[in-house]
Amino acid sequence: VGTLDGLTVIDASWGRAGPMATGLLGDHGATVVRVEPPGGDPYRPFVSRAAYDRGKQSLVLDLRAPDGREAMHRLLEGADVFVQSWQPGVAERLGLGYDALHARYPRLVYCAITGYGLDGSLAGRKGYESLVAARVGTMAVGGKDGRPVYPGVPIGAIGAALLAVIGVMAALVEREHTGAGQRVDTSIYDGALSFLNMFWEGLEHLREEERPALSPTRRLLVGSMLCGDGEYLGVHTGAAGSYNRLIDALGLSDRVPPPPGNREKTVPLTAEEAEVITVEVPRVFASQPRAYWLERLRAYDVCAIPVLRPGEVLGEPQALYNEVVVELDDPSLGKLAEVGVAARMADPGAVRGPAPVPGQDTDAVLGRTGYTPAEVSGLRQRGVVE
Amino acid sequence: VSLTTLDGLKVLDFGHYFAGPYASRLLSDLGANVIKLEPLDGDLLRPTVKPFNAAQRGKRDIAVNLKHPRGIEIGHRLARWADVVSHNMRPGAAERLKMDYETVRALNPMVIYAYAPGWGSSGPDAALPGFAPLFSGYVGLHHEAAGAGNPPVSPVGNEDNGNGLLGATAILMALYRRTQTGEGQYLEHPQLNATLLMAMHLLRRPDGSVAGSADLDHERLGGHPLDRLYRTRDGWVCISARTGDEFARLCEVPGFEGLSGDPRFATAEGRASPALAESLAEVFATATSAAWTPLLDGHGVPAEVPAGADAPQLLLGDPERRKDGRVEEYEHPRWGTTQDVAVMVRLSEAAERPSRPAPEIGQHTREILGELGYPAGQVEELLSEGVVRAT
Repeated sequence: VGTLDGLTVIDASWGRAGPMATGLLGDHGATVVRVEPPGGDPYRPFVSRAAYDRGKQSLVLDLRAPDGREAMHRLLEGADVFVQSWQPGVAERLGLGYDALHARYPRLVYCAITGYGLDGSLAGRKGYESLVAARVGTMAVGGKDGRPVYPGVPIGAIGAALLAVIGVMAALVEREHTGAGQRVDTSIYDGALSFLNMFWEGLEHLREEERPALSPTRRLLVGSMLCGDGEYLGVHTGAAGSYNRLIDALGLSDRVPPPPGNREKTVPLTAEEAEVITVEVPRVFASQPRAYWLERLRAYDVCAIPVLRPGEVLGEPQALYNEVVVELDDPSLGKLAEVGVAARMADPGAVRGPAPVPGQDTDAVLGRTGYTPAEVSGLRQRGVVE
Repeated sequence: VSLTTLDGLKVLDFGHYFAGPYASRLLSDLGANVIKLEPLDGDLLRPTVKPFNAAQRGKRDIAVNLKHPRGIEIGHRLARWADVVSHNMRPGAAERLKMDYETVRALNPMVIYAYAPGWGSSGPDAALPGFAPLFSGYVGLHHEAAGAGNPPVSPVGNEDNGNGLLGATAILMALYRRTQTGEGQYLEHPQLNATLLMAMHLLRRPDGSVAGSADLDHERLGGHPLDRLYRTRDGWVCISARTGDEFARLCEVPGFEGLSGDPRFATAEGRASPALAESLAEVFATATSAAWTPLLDGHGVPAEVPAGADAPQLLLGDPERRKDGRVEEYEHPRWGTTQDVAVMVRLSEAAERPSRPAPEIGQHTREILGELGYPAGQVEELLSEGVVRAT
């Protein structure tokens, strides 16, 4: 049983953000129909489709053909939510713009995910993840010697997906009061800002090379420490008293004695202590394997979390306990473990199956909207569906 | 500006730091009436002013000592008032304060109670502390972002924001459910789960190998040759031209014509090979970024010259972005006129309302106590006894 059981979502988006958004709605019970162009997503093979599109149905439909658009309208007839990620203006050319659809399906919630939003001075620019990152400055924080870096985490798409779900859900709640749907407009740019606004006073604060884990002046350690087995341990002494406990755990408290009380962060290190910290702390961590330090730091109530390789976390005890890992048999990639339903709701929802092969549900979905098998094969012969 | 879609939705947030409060801030952006309940000595994030402001914008603030019997009475009156109660304290803390789900539900049976623990409210690691950005390292993002052969880095994109976003989606789903069933619920959005969601592109095969990773090179300039940074004669340019059409347009740009007939790059697989990156690098190095920009734009090749770390100041100060409604201004009691990022998801039928910065400690204590029905005399008594604090 899912929180959104009974809702139907038609997803004509592509790339990462739109499919991730509708995937989240699907995790919580909505029926999601992916409408894909003939030949498929231009980014195929896009392996992460296995995660974003799991549990959906797929229909391949040529929206440039009048018959294809007619089939799209039949799908929209019974739908609650429509999601698309075309460049501004494309939907209107296809007769699938907000004004046209709102007039025909007044209850439909219409969600557009673009690069920079539907209007404004940047609306005409391609807003792919890396290009938005270039514009908002995230490429400028991390490289050595002033060199830019390609961002490691697609925060624009992740943020856009979650903002889209926020907007869609707010519009669905509002629909209960007004009876009408409305347009939800968000973008990769908005998604990036939904992460960056935390540090919006200046991204200089994020510059990695200026962020050593160990501060030479403050009693603070935030970052990764290299352990004796070549693995890294994340350590954070932000909690009150935590730095003192860390120094104790490392056996250095005779050389860096704890200031009284739990406000040690406000007591700067002396030059002599700073010398001990910057030289001895890395040396001590390097003297034992990560498992040793993990156990010891946790025994001293210091926040310590291993820096795992991609995928490793999917076998960790709390992830399994939280039921946030699923195993799927993907039609193109085979058996996979992946991230499951993230939010833990009273009606928990479920990942209903692997990502579909493009077009695998064309007959079934069109049949549900009233097309006869003969009509479907006619569409197929004309290349309108696959 | 914020929007009025959730006008009338009442949210009580007694969380702290960033992840939990950011969820209710996002609801405030859409018009919800959010009250931050804060301890008398203030949220521990307050000294970190800009992140605090991002997590608390638009809210009203009441400062209450919940450990005082008359303080918890205020907490319980607010819990009765709210549609949504949320927090992100360590497991057990809400129980000790008598603000846990069972207590709140007894006062307010329709309540949506949203809890953002670090690891989970129960389970093998529930009692452990968990600070950002350590969960990002745990889910593999620090190694993924590091580039081949490099030590792990903490990439831009903090899981605190991710969990605030996830929390807002979960609360709104529960609210939608309440419109269908008339029932509230308890829900949980652990920081661990939110961070896993940010890494959902990483898929693990039975042999432990991973598909879906960005596979950044050692220099961290990108993975795929058609989606990466290239050095120009005087700087850098980033292209993202992975479709067949976009590659074809790149091949029309003067200097790149030779690529169109190259059989090595005729297929999608061929265009993923390092040989293409080498060919492109040679050509990009021959001209300046300023020379490439109009050529790439003119041929419809998706590309940008990466901005510097002063990009935020430039964007916030850009009159075009003000005009677009992506940047807004408000009066802050201590900073004066302040530019900030405007609402990040726009709803067509929502009316705009002026936005507010994060509140000061107890800025609305008197006003909120008045709304809860406390007579003025009692409010002054609560203030003088140190049960509440007002600014």
